[in-house]
Amino acid sequence: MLDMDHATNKNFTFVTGRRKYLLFTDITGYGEITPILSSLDEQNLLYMVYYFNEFSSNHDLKTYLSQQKMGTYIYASGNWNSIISFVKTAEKAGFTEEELQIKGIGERILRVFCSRCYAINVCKTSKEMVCQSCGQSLSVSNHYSRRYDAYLGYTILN
Amino acid sequence: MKQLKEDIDEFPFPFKSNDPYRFSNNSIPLNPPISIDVTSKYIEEIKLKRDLLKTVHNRCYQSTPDTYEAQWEVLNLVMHHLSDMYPDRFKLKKEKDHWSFTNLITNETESFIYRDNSSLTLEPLDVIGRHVQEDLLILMEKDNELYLEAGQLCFPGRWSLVFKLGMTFLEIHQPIPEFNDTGLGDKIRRFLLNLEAGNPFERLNWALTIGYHLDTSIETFHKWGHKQKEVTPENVGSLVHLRVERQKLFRLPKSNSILFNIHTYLLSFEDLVQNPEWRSTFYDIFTNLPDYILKYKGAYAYKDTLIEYLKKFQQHA
Repeated sequence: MLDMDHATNKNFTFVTGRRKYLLFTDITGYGEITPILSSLDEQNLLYMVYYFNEFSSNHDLKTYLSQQKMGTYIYASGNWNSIISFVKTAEKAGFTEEELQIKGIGERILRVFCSRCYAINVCKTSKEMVCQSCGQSLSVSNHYSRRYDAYLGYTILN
Repeated sequence: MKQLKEDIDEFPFPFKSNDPYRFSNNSIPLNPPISIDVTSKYIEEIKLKRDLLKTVHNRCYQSTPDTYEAQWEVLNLVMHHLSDMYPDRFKLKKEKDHWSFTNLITNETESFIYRDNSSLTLEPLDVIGRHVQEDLLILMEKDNELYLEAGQLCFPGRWSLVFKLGMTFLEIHQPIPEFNDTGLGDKIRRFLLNLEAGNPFERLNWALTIGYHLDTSIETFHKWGHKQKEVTPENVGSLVHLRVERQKLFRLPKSNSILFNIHTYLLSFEDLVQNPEWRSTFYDIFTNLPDYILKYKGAYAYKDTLIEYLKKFQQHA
């Protein structure tokens, strides 16, 4: 999966020179995209704004994104669950880290696979955690498995 | 562990020149096109493999339901290679679909009906993997993408088959620094997609590890990882080992999948330095490695100690 940390900007950076801009958001994230909207209006650039829930399914969203031409650039802001789901779909539609910026609002919940006992742990944004099943200290990596919908937690030696 | 001369003779030193090492697609055509190498450590390693399969089968064996056709192809390929290349040690008899494979080293016979799953007590890949020192992995091709769908992996170099099962080729290699970002991953993926039946390839991969341990799984890192901190100028030669994986790639024509097998070799540095050419080549390469490669190869923690050790021999040369 796209590296969330890499793709996550503290504040959006306006990227010029793209054919078209797509902005995806929800109520919590709308405030984050308004500066980008102002810049797009000022420069009279082509853009579309969508709420995440305008698409009835990820399949519909993927179909829409897959139809976009080269040179399309995406900004997405909203709660973390929406953002994670959106990024997975955008990746399936062929978008790369260089073609989007995301901004998650609130707490980011991660699923972490324990490399020692295979338990799936749920944790908040963190670099380190303790496996709730075996007690092993884990370093949360960005190595992601779609099969488990989880990131790999590597053993930290005491 | 002090190794025998034949172990050292069998060791596939991975560097051909002292050019700076970087991650690359270093695959070359496999000649002879044989999937398996039986070495002097056969009995010892087969015993270790079977002990692991008995005690932690789930860690060492994984498969998805769609892989049976490919598994039978692997069994077919490996049994033929063993009996053709090592006829004094392996026999294969076939009467129509009734096959009988005899391992004369372990004094075992596997009798079964070819492609009849019910005629085996284990899955085909799990059966044939117990007769070879190699780890055996199957990559299935679907929609121009390669997925890791089955494997018998007893001697992993710091990775987990359980976690990586089902991943695409690029997802599998995500932890390798600069692998996907530089386009190297996609280049190798395209190379694999173009792999043709009858034209197998091989490559040598390397890392450093502590002690003579083939099983360096991340599941057991809490047991062996701390040994990195035990390296001293006195024990570095006997403790640190060059780990080399001879990896082979075979396209399996019926299932259009790929057999990726890994034969792992270990050599301590006190043995490696006895070969002046290896010692000099490794020294030149190792001293020019960037930190991100040293970390990935497991050598960052004791880099300076190993360099000092090698330098002593360089000065005496």
